[in-house]
Amino acid sequence: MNSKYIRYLFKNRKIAIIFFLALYAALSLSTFIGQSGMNAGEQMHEVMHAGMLMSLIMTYGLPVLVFSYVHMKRSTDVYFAIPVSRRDQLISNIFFMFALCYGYFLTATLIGGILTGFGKSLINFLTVQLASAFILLVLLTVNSVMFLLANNTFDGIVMMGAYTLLPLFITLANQTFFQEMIAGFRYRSESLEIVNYFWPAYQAVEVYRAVSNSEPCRIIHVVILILFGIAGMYLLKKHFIDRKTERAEQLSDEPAAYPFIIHAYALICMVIITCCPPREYMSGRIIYYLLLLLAYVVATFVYKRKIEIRFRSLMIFLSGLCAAFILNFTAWQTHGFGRAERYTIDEGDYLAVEINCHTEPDNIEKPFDNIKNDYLYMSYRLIMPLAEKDQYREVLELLDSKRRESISQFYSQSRQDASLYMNMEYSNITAEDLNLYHEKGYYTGTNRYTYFCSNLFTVSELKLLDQYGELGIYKDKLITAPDGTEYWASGEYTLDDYLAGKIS
Amino acid sequence: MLKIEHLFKNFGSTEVLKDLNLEVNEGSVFGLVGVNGAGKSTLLRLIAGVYKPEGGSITLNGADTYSQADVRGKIAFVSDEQYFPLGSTIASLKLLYENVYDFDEQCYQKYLKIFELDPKMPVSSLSKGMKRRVSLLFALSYHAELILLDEAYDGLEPLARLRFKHALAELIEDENVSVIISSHNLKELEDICDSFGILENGHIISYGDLLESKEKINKYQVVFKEEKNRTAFEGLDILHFEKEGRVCKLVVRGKEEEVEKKLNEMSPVLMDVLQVNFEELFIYELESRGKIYEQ
Repeated sequence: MNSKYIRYLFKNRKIAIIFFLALYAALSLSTFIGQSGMNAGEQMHEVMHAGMLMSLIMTYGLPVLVFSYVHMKRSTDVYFAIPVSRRDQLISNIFFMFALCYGYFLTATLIGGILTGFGKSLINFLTVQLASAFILLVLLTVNSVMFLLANNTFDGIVMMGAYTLLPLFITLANQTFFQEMIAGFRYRSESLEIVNYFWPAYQAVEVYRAVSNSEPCRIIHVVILILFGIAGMYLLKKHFIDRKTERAEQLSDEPAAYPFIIHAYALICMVIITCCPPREYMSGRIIYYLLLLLAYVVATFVYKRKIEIRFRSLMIFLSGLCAAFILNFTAWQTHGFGRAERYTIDEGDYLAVEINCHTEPDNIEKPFDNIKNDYLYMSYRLIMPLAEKDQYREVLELLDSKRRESISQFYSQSRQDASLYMNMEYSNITAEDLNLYHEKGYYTGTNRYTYFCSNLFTVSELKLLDQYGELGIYKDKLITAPDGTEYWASGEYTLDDYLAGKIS
Repeated sequence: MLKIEHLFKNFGSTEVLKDLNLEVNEGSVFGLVGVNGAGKSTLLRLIAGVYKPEGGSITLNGADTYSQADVRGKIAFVSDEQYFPLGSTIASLKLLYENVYDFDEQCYQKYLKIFELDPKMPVSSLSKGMKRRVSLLFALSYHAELILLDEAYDGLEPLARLRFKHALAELIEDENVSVIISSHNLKELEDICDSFGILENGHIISYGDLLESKEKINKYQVVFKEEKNRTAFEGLDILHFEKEGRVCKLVVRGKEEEVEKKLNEMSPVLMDVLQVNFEELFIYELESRGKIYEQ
């Protein structure tokens, strides 16, 4: 670290530094306005959250401000010629950014702390400070790397945005792929957690959230952030200390810059677009492929600053599309790589099954989707202790046959609109989950699978279900009042009421 | 002393400098010339420590200018592309120099007056020539041992050029500063340089004392009784040959007395010897190289 250079950094941006200091102080004080109902702890939380949000934004802005000289030929002639080694410049720049980012947060929270008596917990205050300093340092390092991957300021900002949003797009592709390719798939956070491991901002927020709420912080988040920090320092050495000065103002053709970003996003979009039954690969989707090709050409233009349609690029695009087709076709043929069949009831303490569907008002065996007219709503819930599953064999066989029918319908070529389907949700729950259900009316459960089936249960099957679980039938009817206004009237019935013709 | 040994620099697959060797002595003013794209700016950036060489070394008084940051405090580099941050004034630019260099406030004030600059003026409002003065002002304000000027004269009006030349002359005399100037204005360089180097295709093709080199090349205008072709002058190192009837114009490298003796042996009717200037030296050197390449 070079003290003379640091002194220069602070002096050179004196006005901006004072402005942001005032802004943070004002932000801290503004959280007290109109918050009379809050206690000291809640107010302290508000101050910390607002300060952290600002500092998180600054972790993106500061690298652009501090490192932009690397991207301009004229400025490299000045800054790389000064008697301060690149190593010292790097350490000084990181220190400067950290001092601002964390210093502002500290100022804002100190003001809040003094006014609230540190939210009545000085230890929590200090823990938050420590955690915040750590996560801000890691994010500054990682964001600086993203900015320095490029060879000019505009591309640097694009890289920061692209890399920050990449995990979101991977999550979207992941979600779409599972939903479209695996029968019964339901959003499961654990399946997406692996993506979050590659998302430093998410890990940082998780650590901050846990520490600020005085909850135990998962060590994995801290470890991941440390790994990001180490990788960031290594890449900063590569892209700053060992950087070729002549990269300034050139195309951002580093493998990790546009070449990776363009193809990663293109592949993600290809996977999303091709997530459909094979018969739909062409019908109606050609327009999406063409739009994606257009987006690919535009992205190449942004990268190379000229419209260039090369045979090689077209081949890469088509190869990516073929790979996406192969992935989705294989997933389709193997029933989601076998995951559609993965469901097992032998997990946890209980099996919970929830079924619901809209039916014709006078025929409970027929699905109905036009809610403008009268309809019946059938709801069924079975919570079966696994220890007693032999006693439920008859109903389990029925449910399993329906589940298999649903899987086969999912992978049939004539898959129809899901709104016509009966929804069947299977979960494994623990005794703890069950208590929660009794207390609050919901449970989280694990291994959740949701199936849709266009063939509803027959009356005789409903009778069997009714013996083991809770079956309710609801009638919603659109009533027109004498003054012409319309309203819905609702009634709750049992299966016996339906069979006795008591539902009107 | 600046010493460059076996210097290599590539931009991607393009070799810009190839096995370049050069020495510039203390107190010397070295004129670096070459055609566009010859690598003059690249060489100056390498000396300033901005670029990293692919091979070889550049040392100033024994210290490597790229890896030893301290030595860069003794180098002043005025680039052909000046950098002034948005909204900067001379006073705000001064911050960098007074913090990271061995800045001399008295010197700064002196040159501020000489170059007629107002420290409060926003740099963006200055003309090209005035901006160039700002760059030169800072280059002269911290007692550099080596000053690198990349097309530093461009944009300066005659009076400012004269003032700057005087300032340089003063520095050379008082502080034994070495200066490397790259410019396309060879007439200007001729006035100030004592040595020169011609850079072409990544090599220094010719370098040495300017006066000595100029003395080695002369222009001869000779009239003969009958017409003569180039082949008639075998044995002379001819850089340039022109013929108009019986009048031959030759640019010959070699000692004046020896060349004159050889020409006199051919019984000329009339012979005139003219001195070449730096610009002609540069042109004839390149022209003779061109012939070499053609062969």
